[in-house]
Amino acid sequence: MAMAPINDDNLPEGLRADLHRLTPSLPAGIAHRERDLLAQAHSALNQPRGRRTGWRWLAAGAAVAAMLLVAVTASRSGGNPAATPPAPVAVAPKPTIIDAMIAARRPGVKQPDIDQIAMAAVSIDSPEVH
Amino acid sequence: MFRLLLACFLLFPLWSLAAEAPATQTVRFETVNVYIDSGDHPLAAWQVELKATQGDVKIVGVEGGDHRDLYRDPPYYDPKALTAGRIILASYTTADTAPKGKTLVARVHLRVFGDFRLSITPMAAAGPTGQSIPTTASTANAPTTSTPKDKE
Repeated sequence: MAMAPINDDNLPEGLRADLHRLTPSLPAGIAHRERDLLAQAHSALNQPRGRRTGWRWLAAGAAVAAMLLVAVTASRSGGNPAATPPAPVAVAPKPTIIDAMIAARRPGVKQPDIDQIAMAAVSIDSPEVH
Repeated sequence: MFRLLLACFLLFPLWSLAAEAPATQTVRFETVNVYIDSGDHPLAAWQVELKATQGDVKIVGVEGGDHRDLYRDPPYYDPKALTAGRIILASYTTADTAPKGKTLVARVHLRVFGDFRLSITPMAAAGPTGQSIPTTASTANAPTTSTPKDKE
């Protein structure tokens, strides 16, 4: 690809001085390659297309970073970034008639307490009731 | 011709009444015996779920079984289950000689309209020391599906 010759006038003063100072001491091939790379970078920075591409890359990078942040937050909170972990609730298992019988065999347990366990075992608390 | 039309006019109401005669299905009451078979294990406590899986069924009453002096009283049940199609029955004994084998533990009265079907599932059963024992539950006098206890 044919490249336009480097225009030293557009370079900053310090860079142009360094370029002129260093170029003669480099081998001819390396110096030529340095000039080509510098010319390419210089032309890319000065073209509107290059600026637009740069902004696009910047926007894409920001979007990826945002998605990564959301994913990490979601994985730490169990799938819902806004959810707070529910407090553990101790749910007592529903008694069975076996619990009532064991209570009945235990000395000192009164019959109303036994009946209460038995009634809890047979309570209809399911939406299946029709 | 006029007489024929008059006859049709007079007979049409009778024909329509006959066509709209209700089906033979009527409300009736059924009694269902509930059995628990504990095999060689003494049955000191039992709990089953009985529910209607088909048809218009209402549970209207619960009686005890007839194993000598054991389980003759009505078992525990939730009064809310009456007039519903699902009930949990349970009872226990502290007697030293709990029955073995197939035992009639309860009798349930149903109000039924048309064909129906029940399902019975043992929920819990234990021997005198409280250890769980394997049982099967069944009914008599009614089409029933016996469901084994859910594996825990």
